Formats: sequence, structure tokens, C-alpha cells
Amino acid sequence: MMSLGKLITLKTNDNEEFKLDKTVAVKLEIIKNIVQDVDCTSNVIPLPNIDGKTMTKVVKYWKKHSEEGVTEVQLKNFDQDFLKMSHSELHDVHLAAKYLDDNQLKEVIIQEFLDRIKGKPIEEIREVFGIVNDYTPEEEEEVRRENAWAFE
Amino acid sequence: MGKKAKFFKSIMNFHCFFIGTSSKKNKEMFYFYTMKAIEIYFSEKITMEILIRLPVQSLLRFKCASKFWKTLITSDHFKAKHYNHAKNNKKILITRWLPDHTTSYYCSSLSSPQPLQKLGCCPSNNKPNSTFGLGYDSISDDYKILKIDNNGGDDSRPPSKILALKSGSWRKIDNHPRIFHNSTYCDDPLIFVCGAFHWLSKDNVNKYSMI
Repeated sequence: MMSLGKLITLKTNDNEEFKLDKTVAVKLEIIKNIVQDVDCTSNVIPLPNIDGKTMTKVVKYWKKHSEEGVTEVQLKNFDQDFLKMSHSELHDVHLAAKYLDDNQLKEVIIQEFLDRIKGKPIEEIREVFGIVNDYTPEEEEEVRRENAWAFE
Repeated sequence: MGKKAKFFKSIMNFHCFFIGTSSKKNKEMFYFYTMKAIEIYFSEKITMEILIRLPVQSLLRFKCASKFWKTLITSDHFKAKHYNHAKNNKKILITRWLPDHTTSYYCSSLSSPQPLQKLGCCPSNNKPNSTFGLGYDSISDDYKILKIDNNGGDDSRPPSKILALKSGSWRKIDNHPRIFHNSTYCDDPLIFVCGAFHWLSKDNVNKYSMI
């Protein structure tokens, strides 16, 4: 399966190239659609929306999840380790997964965001999402008062 | 040339993409570039995907994050998405009798391991002999719990109660047809189908009828 003819090259917007075994690459929906239509083994598939740093993470995730004989515990540990990245890096990987139609990776990241904001005060929520508080102190107080029970 | 091949060509050539067709994929890509160009840190689509998975209490709290979040969370579009997500994520109603003769109600998701969410409580009689059901009332956009006290063969009709979760208050309802007793068939929970509770009830001659 690892013959040279089965390799697909993905090229990111900062010209980093990733040579992937076809069996791994076709797990990505968008790549599967492309290779069904065109013989891509000699071509380079450009990924204009993804940079090398983000693609390295996506490829690492998919290689692990395509490994034969990998146990569920090993995958769980890998995912825990994989998700140790900054909020913005996580956001970029989600955008890449979205572009690549990779629902599994998208869900994993959404769940990680949910875990990061669970039970956190508003100030920390703003930090995770990069939100600038545009309320005046009076306005914020009023919204808090209107929804007082939610803060109990 | 197939649609997929055209798409392939469009991502091969950056300029092609901008003058490309109005296909959904290209629109999404355009969205992506716009987002990158003006450097919005968090895209609205991802924010939405995260927020629709949150319980209502968190959403009310998050209205304080920014004006944009308040507008987003209170928009009809978001509410519909949140409701659809919740509808596909089935929940069970759990009742718990406490030593002080009150009943507490909790809600739990079936699909993901989350802590029980307390919905409310109600003073109850000594006998924990009631049947419950949880349903969504689309008219008042509220979840409601119906409680029916079983009275066996007794002729008196103790009122059933309905709890509206938005207001947190119980309302008595006792307008069942007279021929029926509030004696439910068994301990099964009340079924909520097509916007109404359904249950089997026993009439005077021990026949079972559907209300």
C-alpha cells in the first residue's frame, strides 16, 4: 500500500508540502472528491486556505487515527495531547477541518472549546473567543440584572 | 468536466475563485478569505456551532459577553438552530422524592455524559404515587412538566399540576372529562407526542382508554 504511486502531495498556502499515503488522504472528504475526478498521483493538490503549521497538526491527527491496531485508550491519550494548543491554534485547526469537510476533527475541537468554557466566568469566556467587551459598565449591569438567575 | 473537477480547477487558480461560480462551496471559501483578510479572530460560524450546544442558562449568562453575542443569542435564527440541536439530543426527566415531602426535577442528556440539571421542585403529598411527563410547548416556547396524582378507585379528583419552566410556577389543571379518573395505567412516564401528553386511563369498569 505504501508504493510511491499511492502518495498524494498537499501544498499549503505557505508552500509547505505534505506527502500523504492515499489511504490516509482520502479520509479527508475534499481530497477524496478531487482524486475521484482526476489522477492526482502526479499532481500537487493546493490548499490555499491552510498554512503549514495548521496542516502539520491535521496530518498528525489523521495519521494517528488511521494507524492499524491502535487502541481506543491510545487514541484518547493522543487526542488529549493533541488538543493542548492555544485558543487561536485550535480555531485555525477547526477552520482547516471545516474546509477539508472533516466532521470528526471538527467535533473533537468543538468539544474541546466547550470544555474550555464550561463553568468559566464571563471574563475568561471573552478571552477564549477574543471578544472585546463593548458594553458600558451600566449596560453590562443591566443585562446581568435581566438574567440574574442564570448567574446563581 | 464534472462539478468536482471544476472545483478542483478553481482552487488550483486563486483568481478563478474570485470570479468563480456562485456555488455554495465557493461562497464558503469567499467567506473564509473575507474572514482572514479583516483578521476577525473568531468566526461567527464556529461561535454558533459552539453556542448551540450550550444549555439555556449558560447562553443567558453569555449575553453579557458583548453586544454582538447578545444580538446573536437572542436572534430567531440562533434560537431555531439551538432548538433543532436540542431536539436531536434527547433528554430524560428524573424525579426525586426528598425526605421533606418535596419532589425535585432534573433533566439529563441521553447522548452525552453531563451533570444533572435541576429544573425545579414541588411540594408533594406523602405518597410518591404520581406520574410525570416532560414536553415542549411551541405556543409559549417553553418546556413543561405535567404531574398527575394517582388516586386509585377514589371518586374525588385531585388536580393534576403543570409546571412551566420559564416562570418556575405550578398551575393546577383539573378539566379532564368526568368519566375518567386520574388513575394512570402504570408507573410509565407520560408520553409527549405532537405537542400533547398522552396516557392510558382506567374508567369505572376497568377499561383502558386513550385521552
